[in-house]
Amino acid sequence: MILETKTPFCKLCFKPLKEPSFADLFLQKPLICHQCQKKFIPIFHHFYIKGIQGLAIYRYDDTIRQYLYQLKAAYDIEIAPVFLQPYARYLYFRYRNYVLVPAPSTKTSDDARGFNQVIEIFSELKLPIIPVCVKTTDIKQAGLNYDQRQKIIQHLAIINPEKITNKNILIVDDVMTTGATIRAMIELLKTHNVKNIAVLVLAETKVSSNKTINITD
Amino acid sequence: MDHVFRCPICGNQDTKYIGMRNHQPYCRRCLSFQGNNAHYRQYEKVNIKSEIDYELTTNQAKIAQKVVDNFLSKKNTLIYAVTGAGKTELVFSVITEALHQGLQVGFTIPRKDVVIELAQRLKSAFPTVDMAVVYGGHTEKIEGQIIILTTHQLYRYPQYFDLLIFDEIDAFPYVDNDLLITMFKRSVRGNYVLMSATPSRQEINEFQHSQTLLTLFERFHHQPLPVPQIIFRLFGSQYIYLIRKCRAWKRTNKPFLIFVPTIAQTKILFSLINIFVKNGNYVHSKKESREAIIENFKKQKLSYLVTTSVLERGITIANLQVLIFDAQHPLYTPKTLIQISGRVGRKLDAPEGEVIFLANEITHEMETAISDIRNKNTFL
Repeated sequence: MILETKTPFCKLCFKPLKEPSFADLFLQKPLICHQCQKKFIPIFHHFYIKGIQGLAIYRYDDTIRQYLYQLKAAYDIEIAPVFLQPYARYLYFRYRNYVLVPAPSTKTSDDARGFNQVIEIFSELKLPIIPVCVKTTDIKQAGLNYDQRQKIIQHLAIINPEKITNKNILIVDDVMTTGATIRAMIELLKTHNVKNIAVLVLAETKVSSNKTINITD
Repeated sequence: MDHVFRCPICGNQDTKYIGMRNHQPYCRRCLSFQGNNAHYRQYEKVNIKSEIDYELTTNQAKIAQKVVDNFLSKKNTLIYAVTGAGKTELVFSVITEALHQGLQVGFTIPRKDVVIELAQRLKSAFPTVDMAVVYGGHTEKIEGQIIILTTHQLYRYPQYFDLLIFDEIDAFPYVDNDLLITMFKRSVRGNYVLMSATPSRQEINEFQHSQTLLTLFERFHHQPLPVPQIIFRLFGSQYIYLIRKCRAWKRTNKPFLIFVPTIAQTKILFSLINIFVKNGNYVHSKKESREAIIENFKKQKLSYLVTTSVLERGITIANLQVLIFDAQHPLYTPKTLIQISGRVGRKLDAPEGEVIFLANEITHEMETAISDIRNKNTFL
């Protein structure tokens, strides 16, 4: 099957990409056009959660919400690398000694989709991904309030802990709302023999950006 | 030779729209057009009459009869009528005919606001018929004997409509959108009736060839179309003219619309006018609670609106006056200008009104629009 196009096209608006410039020799091949790239506004917000440093790349604004929805609900796997592609090299160097542990998602929705969106987004970093954390029940957090979300730890479990022994762990997730899942994962991972833990999320909601600094134990 | 993937929904073969998911190709062009499909139902034959509270004129009745004849002989029709000619009323008889035969009727328009307005009119005309109104954000009920929908919702009805009426065929976002055109062709099971005040040359030729082009170049009240007036002002003096005009309209209690080219300008110009003329608002396609504002304007609770071309078609307000600000803007094509001018003088008790093109440059588009309107008036 032929899927190669002669001219490169923007993955989001399907307009042909412009002729490559001199700078592109040193940069990665862009996936999306300049107009679409302008819609993604990075914030690179550093925060602490349970004494562990975390980094959020975007705010969960309309653009991120729209394209994450397209990825998660419309199963459009092609846009998964778009989110992190401009910062992939920087993030690779920053976390080069780490292995990625994606936040768990429900098995039923993963099966329906045929892929896990967190793994697809963060595979752009080219770091090893070890999905050791799983959900034991099919619980969805959307629509729950702050207090209900804090009980998420009862539904999480670590399988095959020997895979992560003596390793630096980078917890990755797509959207951080209250940080409940991340905190539960940190608690679970600390009980196993891991070296160092860091957190990287694609987008954080506005509420959490004020709150997470306060909830540092 | 490799097998080429063809999207089963939109028929797309262009490789730029095709992505790979788990080694299976999938179409990315029609991602937003996948959802619940409606199931085709056979309806009972009902004998009803449309309840319209006025008589059609002889010319209207003639055309309405021709539409019915075309439908019965299984031909597609294009109705080319001036703005305010009563296009919607022309097709009531063909809808009645289709309902008699127990067929599925659809009425589609590209604009959401027009769909909402039309649904009220059809509900009062056919109060006993099971009706569904479908547009973005209003998709709970998608089946009924008459379905009124935006063109974006046509994807739910593959091979569905025995009679599909399509108003405003040249409106954004349908025009030049290959995907929506495919969706329209896919949803027709029987025949369709197209309607427009400004069809393209190609469509006119196509239907003229098969002799199913119906033209109506007079309004139902036999009054000429209001001819726009070009007001040429330079160096910011257009603002002074604008405010004086607004105050004059407000004094005589006439509702008026100010059209501006861009969304950003609506708010800026509104905050300027609001200093001098109170009791107005502004609308654009991104504004929330737009329906409520337009509804208030129709009920005359608001005396004016500053708007983008979102209100350029399908809206009928008694005794309306219109001013197009920055009419030299390249966004205003002759079609847009004709449609906007057609908002004025649509009611029997107020067949006249002012249309003003306020500009700092007289463009070819403005002149084309005006000469087109004058040309239509000669048919009276």
